[in-house]
Amino acid sequence: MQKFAVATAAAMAALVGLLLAGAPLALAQASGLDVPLSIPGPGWKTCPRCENLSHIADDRKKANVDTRQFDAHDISGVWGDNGIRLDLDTLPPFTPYGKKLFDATKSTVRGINSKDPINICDPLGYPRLFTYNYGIEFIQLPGRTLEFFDYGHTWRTIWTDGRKLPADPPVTRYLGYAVGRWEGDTFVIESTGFDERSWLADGVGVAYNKTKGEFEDIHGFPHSGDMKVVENYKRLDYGKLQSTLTIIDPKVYTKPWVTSGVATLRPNAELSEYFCVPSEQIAFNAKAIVPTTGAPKGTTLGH
Amino acid sequence: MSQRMFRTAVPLVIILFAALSPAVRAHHSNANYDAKVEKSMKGTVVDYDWGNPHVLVIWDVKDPGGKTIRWTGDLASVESEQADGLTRHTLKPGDEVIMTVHPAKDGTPYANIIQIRRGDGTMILAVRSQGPKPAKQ
Repeated sequence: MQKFAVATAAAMAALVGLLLAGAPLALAQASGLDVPLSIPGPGWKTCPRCENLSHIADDRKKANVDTRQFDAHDISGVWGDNGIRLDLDTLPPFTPYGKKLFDATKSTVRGINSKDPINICDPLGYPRLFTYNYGIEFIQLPGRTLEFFDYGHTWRTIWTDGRKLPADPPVTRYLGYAVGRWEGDTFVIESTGFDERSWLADGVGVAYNKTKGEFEDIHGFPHSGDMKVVENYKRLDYGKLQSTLTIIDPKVYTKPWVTSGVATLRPNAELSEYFCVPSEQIAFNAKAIVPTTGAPKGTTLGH
Repeated sequence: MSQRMFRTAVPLVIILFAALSPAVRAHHSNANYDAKVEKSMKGTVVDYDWGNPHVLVIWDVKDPGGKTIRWTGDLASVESEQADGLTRHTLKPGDEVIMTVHPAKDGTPYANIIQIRRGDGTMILAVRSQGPKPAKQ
């Protein structure tokens, strides 16, 4: 452990050294506040993903997010810009059926996952919008809390009027059916009734192949139509929202799969509209995906 | 630094750089591009596709034999590129540019763009201002 710590310190020192030397091109001009903030005009705000790290830090400092008073039962606001990735350290073993579903998500091309529904603008569904979202916004209203997502420019309604989850919903939904309640200072959301065509997440940013030194995009993480999702949100301070996602899907995963992270408040951002536009996506696939993935011309991506 | 420590530290540095990579934030991986190779070239913009899922730049380069090679370069999403200072007006067909890229591993003229300068050397884009994100937000 001590050796690892020393090696890590050495690695950090080497990284800082390289940065100071200005050697790596990709980092040599790490722009910050010198990059103009992208706003449509006076009175408008930028979008969560449109801010660089310097702008984010500056906004949060100006809003005193670490010390500002807050209401523990108010989670409204714009949070994060990238979602919270599934925790692979807590990935439970698949059931035999789950392994079959997982194997079926294996890409037929290299570089991207050809089976990923995102390639053809199918809805990401929930909880994939927890794991990848370009920023979310909670709005609390009497009897319901609305959660808006920049990606897909969509929302889900979390009913807080005391209704129960449907035992056997007439139709499944990409975003499921959700009800919420306060348990102390934690907002608990339970949801069910999901359309099983969506994934929990792709492999990008999740699966890092240490041997190859690359992020792999080979498999997606599936779920069944019987999946139940439980989320816990607790405001740690004005600027931080502890977020825990529990996936309960005994058909696919042998144990509940728990992912925890902290979403950060983006006080100077407002959601934009990231639509996955099918015509744009088709053109992009033809220009940049098919030629670089070894996929034969005419390859259909997405299934 | 001992040799043993160096052997441990180097992969860690590589992982740290990987963590800074736009692939972490992109909706698909950049595994088809060779992140170990940086190639710079002077060219002329043919098209600037300001759209999602990723902004694309297409440019022509004359090789030493006078033959024109048409390159297609991949950036990130429209929102992510605004964080890097790009707008829908940044480039237009006919602009002279110096592109620095990670080229495709298979040698085809496709690339992941890491820097764009105008013909006179003025910096337009130095990837990536979004920078590193913690593994868990």
